[in-house]
Amino acid sequence: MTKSSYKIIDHTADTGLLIVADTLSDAYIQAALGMMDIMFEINTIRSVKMMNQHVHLSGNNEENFRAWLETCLHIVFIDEFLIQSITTLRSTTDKIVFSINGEPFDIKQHALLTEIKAITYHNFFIRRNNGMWEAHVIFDI
Amino acid sequence: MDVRRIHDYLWEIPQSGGMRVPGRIYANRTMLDTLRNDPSLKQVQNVAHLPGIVGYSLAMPDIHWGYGFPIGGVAAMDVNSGVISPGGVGYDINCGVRLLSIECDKNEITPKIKMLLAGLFNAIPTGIGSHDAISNINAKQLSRILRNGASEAVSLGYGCENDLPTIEEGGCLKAAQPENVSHYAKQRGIKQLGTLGSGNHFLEIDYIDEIYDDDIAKTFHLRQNQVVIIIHTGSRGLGHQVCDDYIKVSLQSIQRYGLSLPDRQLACLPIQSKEGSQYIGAMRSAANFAFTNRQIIKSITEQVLLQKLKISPQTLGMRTIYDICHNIAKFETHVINGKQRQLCVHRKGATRAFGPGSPDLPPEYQKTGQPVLVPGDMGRYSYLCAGTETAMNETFGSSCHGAGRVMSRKQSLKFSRSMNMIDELANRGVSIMAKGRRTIAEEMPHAYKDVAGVIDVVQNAGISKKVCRFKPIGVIKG
Repeated sequence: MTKSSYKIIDHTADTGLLIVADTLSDAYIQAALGMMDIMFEINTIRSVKMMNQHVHLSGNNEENFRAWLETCLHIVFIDEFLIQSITTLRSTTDKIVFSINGEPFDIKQHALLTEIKAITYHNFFIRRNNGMWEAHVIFDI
Repeated sequence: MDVRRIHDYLWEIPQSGGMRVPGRIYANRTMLDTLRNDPSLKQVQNVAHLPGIVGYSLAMPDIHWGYGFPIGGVAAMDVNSGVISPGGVGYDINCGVRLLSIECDKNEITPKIKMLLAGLFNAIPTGIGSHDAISNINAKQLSRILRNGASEAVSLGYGCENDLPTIEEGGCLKAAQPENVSHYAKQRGIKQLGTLGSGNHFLEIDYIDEIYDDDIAKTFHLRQNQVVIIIHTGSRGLGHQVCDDYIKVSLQSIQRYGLSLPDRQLACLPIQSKEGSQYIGAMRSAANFAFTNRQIIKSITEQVLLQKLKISPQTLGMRTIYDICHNIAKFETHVINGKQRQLCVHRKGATRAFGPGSPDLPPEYQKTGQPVLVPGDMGRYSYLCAGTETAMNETFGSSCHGAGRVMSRKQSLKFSRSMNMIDELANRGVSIMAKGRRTIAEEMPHAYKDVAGVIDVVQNAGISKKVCRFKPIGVIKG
């Protein structure tokens, strides 16, 4: 795996992500993009609108990461906004501000292929290892 | 792991270490040999550690690895001393199956299957961006749905009162507490009421190709070649969120309640605790959402068929044969060592299979036992069984729920590249409509175990009785 990337994990009943990243904010970005790759044909998602997302790092690493993954699901299923790309605008020890590009869900253009129902606790981690951030998450689908 | 034979279809993990009861697995020898290398057996052993567990930590023959509890797991807890586990119910609370019959035969429907599938595919949303099924539900209406279940769908004009008696629990778990469902869960629910979902959720049009018990089939109003419809879906985002919310609460409560768990995914709450009571109220609400969901989809299905077939409701004669939950925890009375006991029975990927004479069954099923719906994959067959007295005596009135995957989605995708999937299914007499090629590839028959083997075990173990087999004609997937 190259720096700052995600890999979709093969799992008999469900699916997940293994993430490696230079920075914590990159790990968050890779997780979001990986989730979109699981759920949609990502080449059908265009960058049409932009929004800022503030992420408060108020808990421990795992709690914060879980909250971010839940935020991504909220963006998709409640806001019905599909994420095409993300950049980090600002990153401190207690807050990250992302710029999220994408477009509203359009039933004529986009198809929900695999719905991520929940973020399980199975082997869930995010940690620093040899100067990189690595994360593992299995989704209930 | 030490596993001992009780009989050819039942095996026991003896009680040892921190196990409070033995484990018991319904399987044939071939399945057990495969399971010996599978972590799901360890999960059966782990569940046996839970406080208040009664009898055995059980596993049905479709057992496979899950989160904490195995899929196919059944565990009953004493209501006073026991715990309830959100992971033991599952993320998709009241994922279940509705079986409908219509007064049409295979020969009438097969020539029209593509037209019917197109109509159903367009009318039944799958879960995002589709609000036509049931729109503008406000918070008050949602609360009524969470409290009242399927009858609320009928009040809103979806289906009729006659549907309700043949839904498990009449389509409503009493004493639901919508106030214990989080705002976010309700937001997800409002967006997804009346939707099918994706993955292994489906609506399938089948015909009865084989009848094994004529008397029971007759009581179920079923005959050879008759067309039936199977709807497989659950509580959608609302249920998933309730599970997630209360797994968090359970994890935070482990130390406070002095729980020692071999796997943190078995996180649980004492039934007799404030948080346990809150989860139970929320779980019941989510279950009622799922009952409502299947009732709405049933009603949409009926409207589409009436429109496309251009026949009257009387001629169509749609009937709800039964509607079952296969991810749930229920408060039930069972006889243990000759005494009646109140138990909280977790069924995760397992189906209630109450036997003849059970007071919880509608009058028309008192002699037969409960219908037990066991869907297979979309290319082979599904089964209808009936509950038995043996199930009441051995498994807290429980049986299997399906087949389970043998291939991951990626493996199935790769395997599917070597074939024309639509032709492959057409050769089996099955038409399909789905959102995309990937969905079909992930759900092809080769990705699943053969459900016939699972049915063979429950039949031979006596915990369910085969009634008939269905073969698919058409399927829609989200």
